[in-house]
Amino acid sequence: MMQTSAALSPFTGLMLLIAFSIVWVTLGWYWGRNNKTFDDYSVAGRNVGMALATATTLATWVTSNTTMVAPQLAYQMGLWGMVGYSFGSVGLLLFAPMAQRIRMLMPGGYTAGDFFRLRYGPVAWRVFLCISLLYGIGWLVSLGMAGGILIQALSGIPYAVGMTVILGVCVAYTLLGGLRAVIGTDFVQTILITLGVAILGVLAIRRIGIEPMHAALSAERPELLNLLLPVSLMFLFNNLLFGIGEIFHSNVWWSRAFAFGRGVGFRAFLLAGLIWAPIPIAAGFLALGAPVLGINVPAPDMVGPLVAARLLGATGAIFIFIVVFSALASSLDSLLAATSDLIVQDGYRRHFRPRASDATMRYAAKVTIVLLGVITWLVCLPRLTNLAAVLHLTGAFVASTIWPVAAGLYWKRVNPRAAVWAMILGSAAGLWAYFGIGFYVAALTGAAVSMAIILAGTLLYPHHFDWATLDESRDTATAGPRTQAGGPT
Amino acid sequence: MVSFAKTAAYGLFSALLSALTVTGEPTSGVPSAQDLWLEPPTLKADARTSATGYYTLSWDAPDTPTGDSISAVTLFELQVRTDADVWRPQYTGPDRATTITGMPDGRYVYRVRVWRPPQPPARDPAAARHLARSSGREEDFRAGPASAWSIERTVDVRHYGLVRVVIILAVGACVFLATLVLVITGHRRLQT
Repeated sequence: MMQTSAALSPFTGLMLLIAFSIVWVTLGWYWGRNNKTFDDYSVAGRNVGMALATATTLATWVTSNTTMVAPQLAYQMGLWGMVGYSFGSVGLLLFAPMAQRIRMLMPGGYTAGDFFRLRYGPVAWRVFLCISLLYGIGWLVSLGMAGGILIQALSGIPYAVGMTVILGVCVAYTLLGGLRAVIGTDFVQTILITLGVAILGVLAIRRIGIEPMHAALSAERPELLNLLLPVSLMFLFNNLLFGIGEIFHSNVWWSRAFAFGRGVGFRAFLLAGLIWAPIPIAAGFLALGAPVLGINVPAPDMVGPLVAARLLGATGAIFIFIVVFSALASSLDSLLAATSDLIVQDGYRRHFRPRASDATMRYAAKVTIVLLGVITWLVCLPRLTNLAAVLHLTGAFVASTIWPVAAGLYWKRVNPRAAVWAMILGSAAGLWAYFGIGFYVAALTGAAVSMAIILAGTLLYPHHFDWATLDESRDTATAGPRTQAGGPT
Repeated sequence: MVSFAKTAAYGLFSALLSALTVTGEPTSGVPSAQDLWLEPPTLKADARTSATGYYTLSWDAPDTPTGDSISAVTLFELQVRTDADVWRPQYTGPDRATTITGMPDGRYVYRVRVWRPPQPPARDPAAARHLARSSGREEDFRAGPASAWSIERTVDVRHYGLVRVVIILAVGACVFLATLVLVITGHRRLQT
């Protein structure tokens, strides 16, 4: 067990936890009170406007990982670790045109699983579901762990207690309001996060100073300033491709593409990507202040909160607590909603209850959200590894979906079998790289193998695809909602 | 040398104290609370070799039968030695782990010991934590006894070679640029 000093008393931490728990749950109930149909609950009525769309995209991508793993990577890999993490914005930027394409091709779609099922057939769809669910659970676990670590670092409240409360609160308000509640709370959380990170970055520079920071790093951690540090160069494109893979495949982003009003997706993703890019740099910058401040870092994923608390004292720790709690909640709720959608739509309805009624689907979604919360809690409880390790293990899988998704959206001739093998062999190669070399090459290896297979399959065995197949709403328009769209495949 | 003499003197003192205070217990065979009090910590490293320049060291000292309040009032002193053969301070404080990052190629040897306060351990956990956290009270610990040094742990840092890095960078750049071209050309073709 690691023993650290906390900036807040457990009582203050507990009061903050309770106060924000009440705020989020109340807002979740308020925004979700008018949900009438499953469309309202799962894709927020498909008419989210520009401001809310940009805010929810930004807030969801600014996760507790941005505020905790970015400093960790800066602390471990120096300047390129920090900059490399900010390349995660490229995923949002590239998804902007794809969101427009998705909305156009699939106006009645619900999940990313719908795309794989209709574009590549049942085998590719099921392989995709395995990858996506694994990633969803991995991300949920990393968020739950981040919550527990943060609260412990800042207030001394035991890890298990903090993690349990944060998970419980997010489950509660997602349960009450569905995607509407998620998007609404994300808007408030975005304001808190961007203001908070901006103030923190400025304070870090003003209170520490660039020169003392540089001097301390040069003397004690010289490799953190080395722009040719081998591990950080290896990590650079890995993180970029990991971010792209996360966004391209995850139902968190597909559900937003379906939920945003027509013409909104492109601009919202583009704007959110541009605003997001400097946030990990500001957060990562904090970590480079640890040596000059003489802060001991027992676990690398605690460096952000520890430096922030030292810089700003007890009042600042309250401030950090609110910012990171917001970042964490905004991602946890989105992930809970999107993963439950995927399970209910692609698992429950498509496999077992193709004619499930609207009410049944809403009930199934709620049960799934609770179950996801319980599973995440059970995996988080033993705190088996550090945050970056959990997160990057999933990189091996998600990067293998980049080419099946992107080529499948733009190229008619992609071979469905190639898509299946691209995901399977890409994931296997990524895992081999993860365990054989290190986490910093897992996504890159998975993406490279997957791309090679898609290119070879498409060139050697081209397959013709009719884009109109992706639009299931034409069938449902004639046969009524939720009766025709869901035949088992 | 002074430190050794102090440690030895305290060891003798603590043995006497133990014999006097732990009444009703056999004095041979079973380690007393005071013996455990000065047992050297166990030092661990999460890697013997590091190609990344970062690694985590952790250590622990056994708790005495009186519980957490004792383990809380503890100061650990971690030292590092490189090829120069001179021990330098790496960390002093109550934490039980540290993450070392940004290290250049080389061999790094670590050792740790524990300092205990001269006063009898606080029974009140809150007071104990306060003492442990207070950086201004380091001298309180220094006035007390120290354990012997732990067994040394060595970590060899050897960064990845240039050829491997260049290959991985080149593969990453190719995959990224190809993805970029795919999305941009696809989007532009549809726009026109």
